[in-house]
Amino acid sequence: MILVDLNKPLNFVFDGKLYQGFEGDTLASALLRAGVKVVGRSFKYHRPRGIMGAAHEETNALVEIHNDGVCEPNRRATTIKLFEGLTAKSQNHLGSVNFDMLAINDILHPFLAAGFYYKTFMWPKAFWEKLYEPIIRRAAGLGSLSHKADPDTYDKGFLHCDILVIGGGPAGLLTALNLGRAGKRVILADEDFVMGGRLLSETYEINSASSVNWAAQTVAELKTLPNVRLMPRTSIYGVYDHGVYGGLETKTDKISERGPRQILWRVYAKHAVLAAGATERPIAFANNDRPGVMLASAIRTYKNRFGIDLQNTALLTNNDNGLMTNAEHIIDTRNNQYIVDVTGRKGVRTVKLNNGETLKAKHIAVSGGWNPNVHLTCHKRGRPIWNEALACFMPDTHTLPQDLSVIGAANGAFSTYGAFIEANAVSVKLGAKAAHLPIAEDAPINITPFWHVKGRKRAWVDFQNDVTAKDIILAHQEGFSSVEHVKRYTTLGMATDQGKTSNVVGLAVLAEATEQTIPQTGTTIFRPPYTPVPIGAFAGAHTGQHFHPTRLTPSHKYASETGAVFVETGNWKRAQWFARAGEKGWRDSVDREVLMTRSSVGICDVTTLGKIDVQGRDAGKFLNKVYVNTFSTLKVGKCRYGLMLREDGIAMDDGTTARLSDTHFVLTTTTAKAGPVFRHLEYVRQCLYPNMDVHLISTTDQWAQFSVAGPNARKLLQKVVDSEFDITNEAFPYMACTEMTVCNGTRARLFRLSFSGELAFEISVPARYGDALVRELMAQGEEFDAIMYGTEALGVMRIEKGHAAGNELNGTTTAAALGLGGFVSKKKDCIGKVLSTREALTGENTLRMVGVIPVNQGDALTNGAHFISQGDAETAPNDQGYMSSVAWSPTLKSYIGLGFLKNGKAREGEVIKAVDFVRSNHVDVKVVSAHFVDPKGERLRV
Amino acid sequence: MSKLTPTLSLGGYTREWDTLVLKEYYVGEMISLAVSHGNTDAFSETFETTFGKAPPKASKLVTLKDGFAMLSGADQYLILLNGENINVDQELTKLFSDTAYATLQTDGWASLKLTGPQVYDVLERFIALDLRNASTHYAARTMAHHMAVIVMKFSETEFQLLTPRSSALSFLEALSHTIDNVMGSPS
Repeated sequence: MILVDLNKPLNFVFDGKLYQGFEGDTLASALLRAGVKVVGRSFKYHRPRGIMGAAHEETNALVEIHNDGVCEPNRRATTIKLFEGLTAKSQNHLGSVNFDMLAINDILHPFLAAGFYYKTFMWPKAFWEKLYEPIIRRAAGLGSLSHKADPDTYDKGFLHCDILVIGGGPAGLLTALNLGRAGKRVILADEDFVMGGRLLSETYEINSASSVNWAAQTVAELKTLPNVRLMPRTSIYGVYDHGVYGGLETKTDKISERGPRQILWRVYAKHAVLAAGATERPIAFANNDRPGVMLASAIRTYKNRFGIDLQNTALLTNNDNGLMTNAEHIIDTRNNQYIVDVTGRKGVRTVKLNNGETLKAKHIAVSGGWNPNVHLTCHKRGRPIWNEALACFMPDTHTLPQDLSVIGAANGAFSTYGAFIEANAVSVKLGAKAAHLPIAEDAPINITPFWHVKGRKRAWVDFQNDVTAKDIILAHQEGFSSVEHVKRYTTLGMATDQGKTSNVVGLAVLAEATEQTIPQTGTTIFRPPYTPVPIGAFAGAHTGQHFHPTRLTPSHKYASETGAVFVETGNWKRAQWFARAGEKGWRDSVDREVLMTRSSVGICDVTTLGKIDVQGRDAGKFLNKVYVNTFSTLKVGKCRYGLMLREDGIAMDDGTTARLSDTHFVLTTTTAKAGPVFRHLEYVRQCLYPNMDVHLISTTDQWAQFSVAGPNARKLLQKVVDSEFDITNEAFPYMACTEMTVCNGTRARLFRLSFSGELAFEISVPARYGDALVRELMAQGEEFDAIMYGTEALGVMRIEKGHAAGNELNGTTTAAALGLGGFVSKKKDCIGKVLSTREALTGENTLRMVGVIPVNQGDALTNGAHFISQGDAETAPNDQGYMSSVAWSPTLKSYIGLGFLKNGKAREGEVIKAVDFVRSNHVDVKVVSAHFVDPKGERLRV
Repeated sequence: MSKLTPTLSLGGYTREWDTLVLKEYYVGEMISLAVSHGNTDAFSETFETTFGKAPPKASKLVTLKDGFAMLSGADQYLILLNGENINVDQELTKLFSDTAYATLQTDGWASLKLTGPQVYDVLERFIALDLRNASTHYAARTMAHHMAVIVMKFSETEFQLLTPRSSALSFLEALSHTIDNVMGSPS
């Protein structure tokens, strides 16, 4: 029964020429209907190639789909559902498909055998990179790219089911029906756009009616079952651990279509039934790649499903199944007949037989037997085993995953009746009732293996990669006898078809060469994906703005309105500086922000700092373990700076921790380390001290937090803090904290902390009030010329103050190196303490944080410069340390830097070289205290 | 000095498709209750006294008199209470005394409600969990497009999604993009 609607014509263009096909056609069937024989050129020799198969096994008809200047290459014409307006092009030719200038490779083929590029192009040596490789790379590859952004969208999804049935042929359909009727949650996936598998391609009868009708009726009933999900055009391409299967659903082949073009599904199945059928394989004989040489099953598909009767066909078969093909000439290898050559460069003309007879034919139908589609059984290290009677690899039940069953032709049951029996059996195994067995054909395959015709001419084994039987034999002669080595040396079974038609034939040729049996020769292992999956589908929706999440601070809207330039810090977008009219560049803005903050008051959104609520009776003891200094003695209403070490004694992170009650601390982390620190703390809590009464909750997003810094910070805050709260220096000194209310009753927390070195506070409110608070602070701050400042000004001020940040907490520095050795409590243990005392980290000549200023005030410093003593050569053995942070200080009118210098503290006053090896220059710098501004800390305590 | 006005993280976003509605709304107050070590029984008693229900098991959303509760982690419960009461954590701290520690969570999350007959078609492209098979009042903490999400099932056509406030806009963009893909609207 033909499944093409001849009343619904569809126009399409191939290689610039307009054709007509019909609803239900594939591009391949439409091209065959239109009489197009040459649809592409082969990979290496650029030989004309025609359509060989009718489904996913197609190796020759790889085409490009075009639209709007965008192109998708390497699509198999046999899997493209024809649509109105389709524009496709053949690929891999220089010139037209019918006149390919690179066809000269075919004449040069004696020089282009397997591995030729390993043996040639050796001289002159310099030519390889500059000449040979670029030329080879330019010639290699199939199809072209448009170099335009992919205009389509893709999606991903997650499906769950009791049973995933892979393949919608007779075995899959009956299994799904049985399980569906039993109420199981079933997903039936098939890569074709019509379910039915081989039933659509043959003239079988089931229960004395067309098998196509049986398939249609079964699908119709499945559609009525709410617990069954039918997924046509969905290829299950991979099997993964824990019952996870990868599926690619093609929604459309059109480019620039609305909605997702493809959906990548992750299917979670309690059990899977592989009913993926089998793929017919060719026989290798001289010039068996001529356009018109096709798989016998494909010729039947085109006739029975698409109504295209390919006349004047010669059949070459080694089995009874092949005999189902209508052919004028039957050449059965079991009768010692075979083909020794084929003529007709762009289409078969004559067929020469081993008995000397020459036949006229336009098509050759080849049936070399069937390969069960066992690929998915190998993805979890299953190894197929050779079945001598069927001459094919079959799934090995001993290596199959327990949650995977294989039935039907995929399991070597090639007849329809055999498929039904296996479908019923697996249904019963999975808890369903078996259906009454339909009456169907049960013909044995009766195969006598015949793999290739020996001869001097080239006989193709892998059509897609232009691998011939001679290539495989050559590989063996050159010492590549392992099948895996032969594969890599010859490229047998690589690329998009992954050896679906070539692997077993190639193995047989190798087995003959090595004088071994096929099982002794082995098989290569199949890996995902079973069918090609576009990169776009893997990316899904995670492109452009969706590539990673963006985190916004509570003041983001206000900052956007007031000229903020944002910078990505992790996933956060933070205001880097706030540009004002008249400012010529970022330095103008940053200098203004620093000077205004140091002279009056500035506000900075510091919500991004990690905030972790640490609660519990043992919270103080817990913090003692994770920080080098003591927290259990911290008084309620006070904050303390803390340094956290890794287990190896290297500084991990720092921050301040406030004690709000006996059992409640609020710990802060750096922005970058918020996640890692939380993970570390949970590890410590759950694994190292599981008996402590302590709980952790991230409150980073809960509280909007602003730093208010500068001599007028208190005056500004006093305008928003409710009157009952006294924040004078006496009542609320440096490092104090409290819970309070602001703006007539809004809940808030106030911390007297300073990163800038100025009188400063950090005020936090529930994030819902963050936007309102920053606007109120700026409104109330008008009388002080309050400004917003960004991360650049923050960075400048912390360098001026000599505070370590990410550049200094860089995964190589210790507490001592940071000048914080005195913080490490001698009275208690903490994580990292022991290893921080290693000699290599504590010796006199180890790195210590210092400040540097240029000897010549106008000199610019560069981050990453290395310190070299005056008079020493600028070489690695003379390296004395490195510059970690650099800023232009508008306060000091000079560049300043922080860095690590061997025995640094003792070298204050020394002039050394800061050598920039990247730019090949150096600046003389003077070693100074890291605290450039207010080294005694007087400003922040007023 | 003005009184501060609260804002929702997504500004009260609402969008309607043919048969689907996505809406941000104020969920009331959310509080995390962490059970004090060794006080599980006392906590359970206080929980039942306070809310009229036993603490929920994993994946269950328990209806309270004025809200809902779910198990959100090891020894931690997330309580969602109707109405605005920004000091509710402090009140619960007193109620639960030394049996649990309360933390205000309301502002850390954005809340979106997705309603309509095609809600599963959308969520199966967004969240890895088997939501079709989940019972009503199922609740779980998971990931969607690399972002944290707490998903709550109220009926076959109504889900509530909680996602961290700071990345809520990215979450919303990803979700509406998915809905566009499912519903066929231009994305």
